[in-house]
Amino acid sequence: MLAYVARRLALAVGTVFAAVLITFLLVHAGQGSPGAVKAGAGASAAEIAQANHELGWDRALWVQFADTIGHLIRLDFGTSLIDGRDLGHDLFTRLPVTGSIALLATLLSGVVGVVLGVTAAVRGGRVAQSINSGAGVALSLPAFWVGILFVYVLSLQLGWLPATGYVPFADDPVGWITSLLIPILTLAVGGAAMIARTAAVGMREALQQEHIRTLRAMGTPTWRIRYVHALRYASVPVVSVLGIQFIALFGGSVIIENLFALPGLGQTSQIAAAGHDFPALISVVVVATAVVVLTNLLLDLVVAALDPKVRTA
Amino acid sequence: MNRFTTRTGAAVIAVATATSVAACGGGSGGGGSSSASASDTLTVAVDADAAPNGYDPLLYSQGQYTFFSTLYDALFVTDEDGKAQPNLVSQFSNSPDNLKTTLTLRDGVTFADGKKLDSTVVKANLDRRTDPKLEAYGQIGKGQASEITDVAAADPKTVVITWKAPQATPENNLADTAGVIVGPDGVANPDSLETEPDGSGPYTLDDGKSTRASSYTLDKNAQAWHADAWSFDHVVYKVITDPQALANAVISGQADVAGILDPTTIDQVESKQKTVKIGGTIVGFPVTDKKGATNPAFGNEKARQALLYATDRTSLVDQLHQGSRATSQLFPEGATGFDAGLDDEFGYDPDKAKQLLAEAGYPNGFDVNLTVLGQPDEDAVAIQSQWKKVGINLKFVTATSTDQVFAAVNTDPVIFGPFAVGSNPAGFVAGALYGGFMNTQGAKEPAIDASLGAALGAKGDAQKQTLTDLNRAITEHAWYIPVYEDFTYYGYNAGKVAAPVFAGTNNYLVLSEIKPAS
Repeated sequence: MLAYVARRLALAVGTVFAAVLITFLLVHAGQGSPGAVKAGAGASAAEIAQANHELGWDRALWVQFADTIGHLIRLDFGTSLIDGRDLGHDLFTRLPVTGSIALLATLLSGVVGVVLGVTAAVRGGRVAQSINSGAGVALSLPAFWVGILFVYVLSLQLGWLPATGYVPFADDPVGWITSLLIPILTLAVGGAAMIARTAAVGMREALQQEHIRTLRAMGTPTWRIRYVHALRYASVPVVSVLGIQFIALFGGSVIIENLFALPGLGQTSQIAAAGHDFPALISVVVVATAVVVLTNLLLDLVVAALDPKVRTA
Repeated sequence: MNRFTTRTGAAVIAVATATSVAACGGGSGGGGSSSASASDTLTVAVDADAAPNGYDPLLYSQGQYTFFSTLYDALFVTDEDGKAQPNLVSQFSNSPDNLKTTLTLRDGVTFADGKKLDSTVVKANLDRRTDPKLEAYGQIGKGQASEITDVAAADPKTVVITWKAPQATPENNLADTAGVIVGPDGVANPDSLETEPDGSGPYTLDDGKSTRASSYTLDKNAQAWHADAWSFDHVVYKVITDPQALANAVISGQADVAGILDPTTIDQVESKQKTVKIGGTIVGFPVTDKKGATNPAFGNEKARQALLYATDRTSLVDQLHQGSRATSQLFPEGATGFDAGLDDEFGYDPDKAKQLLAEAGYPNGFDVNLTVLGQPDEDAVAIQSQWKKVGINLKFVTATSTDQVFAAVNTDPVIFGPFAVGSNPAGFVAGALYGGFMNTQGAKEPAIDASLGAALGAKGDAQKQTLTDLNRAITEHAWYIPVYEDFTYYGYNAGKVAAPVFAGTNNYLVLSEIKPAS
């Protein structure tokens, strides 16, 4: 297993390197430059060139890339080209925001989705139809629309939860969770629907397996058959979908962060891309890629733990 | 098997815990939470980052002074009546020919770097006016309408400013961001201002509770000379770019003041909170190419005038912007120099537009490129169909980056958007339309030159006439194709604060005047 993990970690480093290289090339291949943004509207070509020179943008590409990699190896994310902020500190403050939302929304999706999916598979009939239809509706709702609806009801009408903003855990733990509840609920609606469908299909399939029939014949209690043996079988695709969901929520956080004015990674990546703020963009890409790679690794380990066939493959 | 499962479970818990711990560590996450009581804190939500390029206030236009007034002081500040009032200056006077202004500086002003205000600091600041990056100095830089030729530190408390042309109201040239004074260390090393402000303002930045582009927490500096004039111990500036989220913030009471509100959210805000509004924003097309460099048609005055007559402003306002005011002139209705007759004289007349096009040598019209970021807005699309009727083909060029939008003033004959002309339109003309980014070509028009110079050199009734002349000259020579005067709305929580006030007819707030609700 250690060799397996080591191989995956080596692959992870290669993936991060490739992501940095691709981002680097894309930023340089695109039109414009950070100097043009820094020099402002109406700047002359000479002023833009001077600004680019001061930012080191006119150096040879390989020099810039080597410089970037050198800093990343030392975990030095550098400073923003546009406003000079410390990018390491910026990531440190923003990562918990995006990470909290993605993780908690994924967990909530998992719990609600599994309960609904298992219920649909076990109860069948109208209950299953209702859950399936409800999941279909939930999947078709755009997240931003769901968010607006939750804000309208829970914040503007009932005044239970804040409509926007983020409160750091260290400042106020209760404020932290209340500031995240609407974004989490918003993301969990579609997520839970997807998990419910996946879990329902998995459970139905599991309950028809030969080993389950054998367990019934042996007189194993029904609850144990359903919630231990069958659920374990059905959890493999559920865990895979949860992992993908986490990655999607983490990487696609910009819409939710804008909608709820949350100071997360999505917000900073949007600003960095618009301003050709290459170090800022690279820092976000590195962190996001690392999170994706680690999540995939964790996912593989969990699936291997749940499914002996995967381990022996 | 069980052992493996346990390890995996531990790994899951470890990751969850790590994230939670990280969340705990994100103490500067910028949520605006503070240990201070809510009543001590004023929370202002704004629709755009207040300091996208760092904390050098001179990099920004006048409208950004609302934010920077917390960290910096200016020589003069614009009050709620639109008048520039002495701030770091205790008194000032002009020479009889209005070519020299003598400023006497206030005592007891200390900067964040610990140093005191004196005339050498003011001189060092104003000597940065040659730096083309400093947007605040658009009006007083070299070659501009209110050019400063010399700044002398006569004695520690006295500064003498020499103007190239007579300036009857010099205080207008040195108000808000244009008159901001940065501390000696910041002036000596402007790069340091990217991350650390150096001002004498009533607040200091709490860096640990601020996150760039998201939230800025400001704590009152009790030692500041004017600390008592500001009502709140803390100010939290939140950046909320989504229009609906901005409205939600003030409706829910999370923000005490929020703006600029999107017009589609005003009714919603007013259903729960209150709003204040101000005119002064002219939506239209500044003509950036008066020489025909990017489009030969724009070098011809008659072709430009055809755009004035081809624009059906009244229909556009009726259909898309009820409550706004259709206008054919640059000066807002509330500004000195406004001339109602211009709206009739240069109103919609497609036949006249076609006639002018024919006289200009473009009987079949011409193409006009307009750079847009993303999709063109509904105004631009509506105007596209209006201009098409006289043969002018407005073509949208989709920008792929912010800098392409910035560069449009050099690559396109026109740009389009809302421009805050405000209560000092002569300043707008001097700093933006004639002497700033809307005229990077340095085009000259004698009628504008003369009336602008006269407006800057006159006061009272005499100035009123010159401003009227300036407004007419800009319209007649079609340097700006206005569409409508828009209103700027801010929402506020009346249970927490009294109605905010604007800086005259400028569309930015006087932050120091925001008081607790009585």
